[in-house]
Amino acid sequence: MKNIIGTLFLLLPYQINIVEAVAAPNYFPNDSFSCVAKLKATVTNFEPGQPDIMMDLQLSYDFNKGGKGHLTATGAIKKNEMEKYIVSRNVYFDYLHIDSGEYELTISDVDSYKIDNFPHQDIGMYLSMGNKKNIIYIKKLGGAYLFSNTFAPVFLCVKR
Amino acid sequence: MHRVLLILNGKTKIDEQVNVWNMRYLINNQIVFDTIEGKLCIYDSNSQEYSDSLSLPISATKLLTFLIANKDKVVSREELLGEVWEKYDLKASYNNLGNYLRCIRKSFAELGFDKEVIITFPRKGVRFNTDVAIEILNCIEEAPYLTEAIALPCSPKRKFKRLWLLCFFGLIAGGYFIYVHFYEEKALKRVMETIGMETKLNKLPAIKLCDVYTLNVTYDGKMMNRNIVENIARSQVNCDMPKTLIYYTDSPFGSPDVGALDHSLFIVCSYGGNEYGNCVSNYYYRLNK
Repeated sequence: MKNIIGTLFLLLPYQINIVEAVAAPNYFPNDSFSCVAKLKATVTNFEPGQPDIMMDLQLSYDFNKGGKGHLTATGAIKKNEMEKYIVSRNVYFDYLHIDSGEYELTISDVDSYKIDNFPHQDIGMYLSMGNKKNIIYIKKLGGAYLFSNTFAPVFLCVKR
Repeated sequence: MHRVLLILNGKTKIDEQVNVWNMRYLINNQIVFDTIEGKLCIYDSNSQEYSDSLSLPISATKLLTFLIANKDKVVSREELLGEVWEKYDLKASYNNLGNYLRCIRKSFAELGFDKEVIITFPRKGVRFNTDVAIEILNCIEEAPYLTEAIALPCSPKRKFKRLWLLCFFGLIAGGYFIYVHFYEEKALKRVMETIGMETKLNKLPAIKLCDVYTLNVTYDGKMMNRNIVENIARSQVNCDMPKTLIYYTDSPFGSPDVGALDHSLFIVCSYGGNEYGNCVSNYYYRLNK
């Protein structure tokens, strides 16, 4: 499935290039920032047999100096309008700057609240946070950051 | 150097009045464990200097603290799951417990500690090794004056840190109050203008009270405008109130080669309330089949 999604998202670099041409230069690894994103995503017809996904999440990121970071994710995810899940978890990660705009996140700890019933392995596809190592792209847009990943929704994370 | 407040040996229980979660422990006169920072530091008793340190994950810190506080008894795995995870409304699993026990052992080993810190009793549980001496250096919350005597490189002087934090948050709160009441709308517009300047957003004709931008190099203006109107409808955006809309798509006319009909991002920033929480990213992906 990831291959198919990856193929479908081949268009993504064009979007990044548009931003990159005028965005600020690298601001890692010695800088730090915090931002918050409200993401509503609707993903339909990924491939036959796969559920349609609706997400309504609040994501709060802290990228601290020294390559340590933290994500708080809360909200709800629906599959096919039938399966409803709650997400309420803290994800601790180490991050590494690979290239301009490209970062590798390594999960070090996940604390899920009891109310959180969304399978951990599934969230990787939607938040690029499910695998031990994850690649994400972050582009600075003035007072905000555009997050993207080959397999996950694009969203704007506003500096706080 | 008034370093030792209480000294525990293998048979002495930790005073129940002491808050075990806010402590620094000296383990076997070799390692300092800071329960607040979640750090282990190497301590040289001869030179009384501290060197390498490493951080423990939060759950490992809680686990080690609980084992130290109950060092005289074998603690069952169920009790550990209850005290370290379930008590904090976190999901508990034997797998997690095993991982964090390994993490603690590995961390001590990495710092050159050659004794087994946690002993496993098959079918009974685990216990902190009673052959390993523990001294309480100080109670961080209840005896802050002692921090002067213990200047850990891995743990800055907490008294001043707190003062700075108080000042910092006071300033933030004051600033936020002024901001919310006097400059909110102006500031939000400035943020959006900043984004526009740095990213060369294309400004499109406003729709009612919504300012509209695109991240794209201009495609067909009419088509783009139609897409935006459709997005306004499906995202239930009310343009009778002032808002800033930013639209991006990489498949404005569909992409026959990969079959993507709709792959777009529609950012809606509304005014009022907290500036930073007021942008919602509406992401759509739909495959044309």
